[in-house]
Amino acid sequence: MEGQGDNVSDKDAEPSNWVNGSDANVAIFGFNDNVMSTLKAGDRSQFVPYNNANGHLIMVDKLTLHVQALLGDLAAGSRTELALAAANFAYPPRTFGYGDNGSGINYMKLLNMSLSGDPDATLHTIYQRSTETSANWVRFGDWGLVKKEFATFPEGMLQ
Amino acid sequence: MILSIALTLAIAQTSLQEWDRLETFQVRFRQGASDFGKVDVSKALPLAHALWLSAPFRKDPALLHVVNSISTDGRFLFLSYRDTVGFSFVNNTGRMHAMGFQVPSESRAPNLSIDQCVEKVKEYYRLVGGTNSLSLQRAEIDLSMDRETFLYVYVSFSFTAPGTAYRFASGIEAIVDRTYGTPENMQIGEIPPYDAPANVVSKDDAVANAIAAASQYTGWSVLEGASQEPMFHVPDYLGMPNRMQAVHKRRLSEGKACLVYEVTVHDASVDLPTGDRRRPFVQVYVDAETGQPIGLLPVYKRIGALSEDLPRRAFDWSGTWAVGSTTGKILPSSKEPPFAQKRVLLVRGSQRVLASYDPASGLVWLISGGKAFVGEPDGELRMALALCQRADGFEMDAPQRANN
Repeated sequence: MEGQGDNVSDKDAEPSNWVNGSDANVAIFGFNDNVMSTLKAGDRSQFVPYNNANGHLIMVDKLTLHVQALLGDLAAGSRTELALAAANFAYPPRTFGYGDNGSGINYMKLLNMSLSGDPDATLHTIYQRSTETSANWVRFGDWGLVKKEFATFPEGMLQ
Repeated sequence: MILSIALTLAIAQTSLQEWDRLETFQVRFRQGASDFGKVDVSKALPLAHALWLSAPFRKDPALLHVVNSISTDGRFLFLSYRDTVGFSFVNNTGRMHAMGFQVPSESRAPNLSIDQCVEKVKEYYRLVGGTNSLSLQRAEIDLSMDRETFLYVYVSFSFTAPGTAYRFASGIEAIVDRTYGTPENMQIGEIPPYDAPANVVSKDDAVANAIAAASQYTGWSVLEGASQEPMFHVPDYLGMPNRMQAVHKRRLSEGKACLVYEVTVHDASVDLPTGDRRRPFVQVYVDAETGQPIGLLPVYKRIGALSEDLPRRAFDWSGTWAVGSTTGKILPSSKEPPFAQKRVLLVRGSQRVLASYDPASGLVWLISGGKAFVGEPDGELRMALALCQRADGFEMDAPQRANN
């Protein structure tokens, strides 16, 4: 995601700088392991169980809920660090762990989404999936995306 | 902006011994939420403050980025205190279900041992009011989080049923920062109501039945299975292939747990070590009271490479085989597999093979990798095969619920 500070533009927000976290108000989110989730390209099966009653160990909610929470908090004006913590707390993504004692028992464990970049970055633009076709919506094949501009970030807040 | 600066100054001027009042919080309601539900924020604030005071680090107050915030979507409420302590509560019950610390990203020195991190998790669980008995399940350097610097330790505890050794599937889990010993994310479960079992089948029986169910579902003929001691689960398996009975569905609707073996079954014909993420496996959930498999999670469909691409271990009949408590040898045979058959379970070390047995010819055989392997058991083994129970599979029903 890209913030709206005067010092940030598409030109100087090169990916290498994002990864190094050297740009103010620029941050990227990601996982460094496979996430057990139905949110995988080309995977539309609905076989993923989850078990809120048991808490955690069978399966949790789908990653879509995590993304929804993350974007929701960002859209509401939260900083990246806090929005990410809230999403990881509420809808913890999971990966599989593997028994290391020869037992062959597999288990699931927490896999926080990670943040690289500015923990104080805030959101500038959010895109939302939709089937809308009005002029405010951009079409990408079967996808409709709305570009929603947020209020200008006050100058001087990004020191 | 003026308001924001005023808030920041107000926080900065607050005495260290006083917790920040609710008025200092930025509150964001999302998804139509309009209140905090049953979350008692007034109790959360002193707790957050106490944890903030106890934090083994400080963010530089000169940066004045310190902001208190609360956001809620009607399901969960997230509270962030002085940019350091975070809580998450369930709106409709008020229960805390996660907490953590945001630590400074600079000057990390991940020196704490795994044992020290385990102790820290216990401490923080008690600090936030947890009272359940804990049984340590896992504690390991979290390689998935940071493969280079090992910044985190993953710790998992189960709750134990009062007065018993049986554990619950729920417990606490934490990703612990190895520099400070603070949980970055500690998930806190709760003990559901549960039905104590009248009796418990042996783990061997549970694993054998799980393997029969897995073989039936996957078509694998050489398998390996392992289980921990049974745990209390709410039998919520309707979203996966399952054979839940009325009693399980009733428990699910009541949110009640029953004792379940959670068995991991691997395709042992794949020549990859345990722990290789491409190794195909399923999880089978076995009712510990009846020994019946009641749910199957087809993990191999969701992670790892396609089976056809994986290195295969050629099957042979070498080694010592067991049928029940009888052991013996099986010699390879060039005879054609007979038609008549009884499905039997043969065990060789950690491997379990679902084979066919023909009482008339005394031959056993199986299909692995599209090829038939016929074997001739010795006399004792043949007797045991003739007397043993059929190892029939367990047909799974399709999932009855899509998990949307």
